[in-house]
Amino acid sequence: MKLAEAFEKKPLLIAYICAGDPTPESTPEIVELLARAGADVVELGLPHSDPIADGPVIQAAAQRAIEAGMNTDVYFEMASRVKANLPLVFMGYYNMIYQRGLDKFAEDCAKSGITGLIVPDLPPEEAGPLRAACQRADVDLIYLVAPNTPAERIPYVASSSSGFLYLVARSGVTGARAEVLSSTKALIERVKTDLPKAVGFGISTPEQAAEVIRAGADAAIVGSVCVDLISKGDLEGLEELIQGMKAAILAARPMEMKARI
Amino acid sequence: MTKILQDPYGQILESYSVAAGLDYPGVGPELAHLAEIGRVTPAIADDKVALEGFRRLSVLEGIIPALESSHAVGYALKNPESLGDLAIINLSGRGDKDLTTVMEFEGRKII
Repeated sequence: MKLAEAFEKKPLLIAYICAGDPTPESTPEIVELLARAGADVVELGLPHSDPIADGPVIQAAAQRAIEAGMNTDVYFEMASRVKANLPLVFMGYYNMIYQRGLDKFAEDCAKSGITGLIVPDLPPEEAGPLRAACQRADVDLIYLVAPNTPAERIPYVASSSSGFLYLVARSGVTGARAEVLSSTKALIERVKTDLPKAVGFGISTPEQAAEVIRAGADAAIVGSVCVDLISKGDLEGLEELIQGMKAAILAARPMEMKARI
Repeated sequence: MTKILQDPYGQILESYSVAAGLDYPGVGPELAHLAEIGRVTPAIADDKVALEGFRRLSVLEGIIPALESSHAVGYALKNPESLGDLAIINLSGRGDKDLTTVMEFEGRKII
């Protein structure tokens, strides 16, 4: 399924997991669990040795996954084993893409059910070759806007992005935070784009997810808390959390979204 | 484009060197470029070669080279024939900072 099709039924819940943690075999089942529990899109993180945008929880997960035998070949193999009708999105770092070859990487995504790529260490200025490869393979390349992105730069980043625009809720790396900042709400209002806006970084509770939807986001992205529950082997807790978040964002959706369904 | 110690998938590998300034899995992009176009020929010197360079320059000239630069000194001592009639070594730093490391490496206690 393409992201554009998924966003016809917004608001969406996007769940991030680190592929290959705790083992490569477990990932397809965890994705299917997330889909059953209500996730609309799953971001599959490709573990990298130097995950510069990630906080301690995802860093540790990436390290475990690499030690458990995770690599790019295994990644695509596991993605293609997922039996769930939802878009998968790649999240990972550019060197892993570059080493595989841009066209090969984008084609492997398309073949294995991955319909979009998030590459937080690749600025749009440097992304021309990857964007072209993604267009050839018909997969989306998703960009991030942060609270400190200058106003004049936002239209450029937004126009570089396809599928959705990733709004980073706060400065710093990924990881759970106690509250959604007022600056996050301001960012949602400040960004003008025709693309759906998905807000992530720091969202760990149903209430926070609901809050960003109420503030005008089209999707809430939840990551570190999922990775944390998986690391503790608490898949029941993960299922409950996703169910709770989905219920919360559906209850929080503004009137104009309700009217569409 | 720089050069990085990495596996075939692009995972950055752990580096190691007795010289703290070389214990890093990448090199500067300028140096990588010069090597790429053939202006610079990279060569290899391990800890043992570097420490020999460190010791010899210190003893013979009273110049204590940084452990990073000591790699070049050690290499030149070991491979004089590869350098032609005239060799210039850039001592990019001083080795006073490295005395503790060298003594530990040689198993000597600092009093």
